[in-house]
Amino acid sequence: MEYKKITEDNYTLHLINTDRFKSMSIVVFLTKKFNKDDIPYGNLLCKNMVYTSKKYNTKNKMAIIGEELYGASVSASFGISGKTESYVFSLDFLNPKYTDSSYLESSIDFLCEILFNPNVKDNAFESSYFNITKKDAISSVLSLKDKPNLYARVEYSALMYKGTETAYSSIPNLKDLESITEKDLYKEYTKLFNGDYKIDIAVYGELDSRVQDIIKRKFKNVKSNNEKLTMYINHKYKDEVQEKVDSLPFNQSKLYIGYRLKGLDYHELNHVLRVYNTILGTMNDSILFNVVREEHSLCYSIGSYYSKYNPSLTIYAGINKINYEKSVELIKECVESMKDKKVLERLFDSAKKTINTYLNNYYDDLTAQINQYYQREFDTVEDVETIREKINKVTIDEVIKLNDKISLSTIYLLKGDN
Amino acid sequence: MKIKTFKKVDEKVYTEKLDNGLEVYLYKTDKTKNFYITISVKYGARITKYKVGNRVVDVIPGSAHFLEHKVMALSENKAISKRINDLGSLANAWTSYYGTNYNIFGSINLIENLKLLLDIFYNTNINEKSVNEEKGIIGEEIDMYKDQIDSLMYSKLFDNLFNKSYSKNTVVGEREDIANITAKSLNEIYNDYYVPNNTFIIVTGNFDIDEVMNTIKDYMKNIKVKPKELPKRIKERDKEIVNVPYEEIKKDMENTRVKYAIKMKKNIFGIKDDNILKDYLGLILSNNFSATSELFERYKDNDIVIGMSYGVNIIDDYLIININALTNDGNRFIDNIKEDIKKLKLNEEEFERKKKKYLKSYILDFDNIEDVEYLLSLSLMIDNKIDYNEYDKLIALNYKEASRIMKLINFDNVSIIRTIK
Repeated sequence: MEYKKITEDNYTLHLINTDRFKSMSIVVFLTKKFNKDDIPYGNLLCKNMVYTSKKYNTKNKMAIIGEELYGASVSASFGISGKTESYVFSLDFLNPKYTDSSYLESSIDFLCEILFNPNVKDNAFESSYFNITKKDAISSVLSLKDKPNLYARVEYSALMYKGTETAYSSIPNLKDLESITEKDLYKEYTKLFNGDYKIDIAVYGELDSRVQDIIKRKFKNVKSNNEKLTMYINHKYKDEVQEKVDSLPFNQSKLYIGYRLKGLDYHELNHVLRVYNTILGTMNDSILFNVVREEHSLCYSIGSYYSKYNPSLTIYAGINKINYEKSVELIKECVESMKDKKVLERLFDSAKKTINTYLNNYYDDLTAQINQYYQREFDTVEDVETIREKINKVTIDEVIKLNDKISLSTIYLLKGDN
Repeated sequence: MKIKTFKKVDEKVYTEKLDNGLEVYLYKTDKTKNFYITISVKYGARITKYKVGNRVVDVIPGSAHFLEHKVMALSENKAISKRINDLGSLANAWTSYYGTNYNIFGSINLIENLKLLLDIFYNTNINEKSVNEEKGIIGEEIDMYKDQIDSLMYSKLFDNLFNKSYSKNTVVGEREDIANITAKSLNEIYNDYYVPNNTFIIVTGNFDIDEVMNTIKDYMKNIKVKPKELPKRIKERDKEIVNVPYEEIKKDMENTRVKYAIKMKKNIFGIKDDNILKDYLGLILSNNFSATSELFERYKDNDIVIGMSYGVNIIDDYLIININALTNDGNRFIDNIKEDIKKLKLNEEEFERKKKKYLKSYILDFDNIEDVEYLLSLSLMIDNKIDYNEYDKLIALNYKEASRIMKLINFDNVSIIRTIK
């Protein structure tokens, strides 16, 4: 694999040349500092842009061009990461060597049609499709309570990260969403390529020598904001433990327990925490899996994850509501056992090897590779082999010491009331 | 050892059937640092009753999945579990109607991982205590699926479509079913079905083919498992008419969900190969009901649906086509789809365009070692063989035949399930 970064005035191009996959991807990232007022526009703008365009002005025409290009597809998403927000437009298509010579440029044209030629009239998105997508967006917000996993995670995050960017999800407030007009949305669209956002373009696959020129030609009119952005959040957590119980008519209850992480240095946050999290909740034989699921049969799913940009550790489990107190106590004991050298010794080497397997997976994961180069624009992101080397040097004592910087912050239960 | 090649993509599979009947499939690629090893048994939740010798066994629903939990019981087999962890590997398992798959994903020491997976498979110890303990975990898994509305609706739809078919039961079963499962009932199934001539091993990744094949052969020589007479599945004969034509599920949800299904005998199409039949129907249905169809656009424009999708299933002798909708008005969708489903359309240009998507999908199947394994294991479980000529078959799909098939679809035998507030 060869990587080349080309910094143009109006965008940064990441060329990742590899024959690993039989497909190609072009991903356009638009990034800026998070502003909660942008949330209502995020998903609605994405939906409108991929639904129709000026040239492909019906849903069906948009579908036909994708099929003609051997199932080429453009997806769009809006997300929040640390202190930033971003739009991501991704074109996936076959390696042109399986088709014909015009296929590469035709596929890029398809992406550019969606990016630069939206279905607008008189400075407003076309009304009928705007109304359809708006209805869909409203319906999606209203149906949040029908999705217990997502609902619980959104509510937990709002509680755990209150007062910070992480407390927000990309799901908008209903009132804000309802008030958006076709003109408002178009106004928001005009900001995308006009200097408000930092623009990164990643091209991944068996690269043709023409790619760089094609991109240069197609993106010549965009303007990028090259102001330095950071993803890290300085979260001032409250000292007391907060607990909340909601209920909805489901069979299973969803439990989330959040631990705040304070004062971790770079090594602790990027290497030690990864080992800690693997032992606690992600490896085959993790402490949570062994104690809560296997020894006490309290759940089917249990695990943990951590947030690097708003330092915290979260444990989640699907439980029966009658086992709430027992599950919380056992989970607390599991975290407490992370101080026990004997417990850690049993799992420590295996955890590192498990991480090594996950790291190898990076080479088989197109998205992970693209994201790594993108994230380097905002953060120090080591390459996989450096991470591997540093993970392998983590000691048990460092993992134990991490416990001094971890404390319980939030317990959230979405009680299944059926 | 035979070498088989998938056309167009030039991907090769090394295969051999051992003396004891066990089949081995090896796919080597130097594009990855990882490997994926699986051992699968062609026994899944569709077997509800079987006969072996003079013995007839009624299988408790959920047994195949329960057995998977007890075979992959790593917490009860500390030594094997420790070795898997020491190698940094990830072990898992899954069960479908057609088979059960045990797998290890790793990057260090493939040979030892392979032996460990074989140890897990061939050294089970299913006892009453551990079976009872597992019921709590599986009970939570059942609840989890019941909270997923699509999963719940599919299980009820297939229950309503059939009178006696296996598909009336979910793969995981109900809490009442698993309460009746015992160590004895699981051991009986294990002894009858987990035999080498009903089992296959697939290894994908970067490895030495001869070394892996020899390891499997040596292992089999040492454990001396012999082929056995395979049980005969006793298939319940289902009535053609749907069991329940309409059902409402009371659920306080924001939008209404509807599944509109039609049931017909698959032999009306005169196509022996189920996969070809499914390919043709997939093309036809995609043109008419997918998010890219004209009908979908019309339904969206007229606020009839929020989302729409379709599915094709072959359940023994029957073909099921289902159209799924997320809508604000269930009655209006049902009224419309009743008529529109009879107006299927597909022209030659549309047919050729849809076919291109199939070709892309075929080419991309080989990008990931887990996808390759899944492709192979699914073919072996469902069809009992791997079709190395799939590309030729895709190329041979033709508009004339699609038109013929489209005209034969029978729309009269309907079962509808919907949510209601």
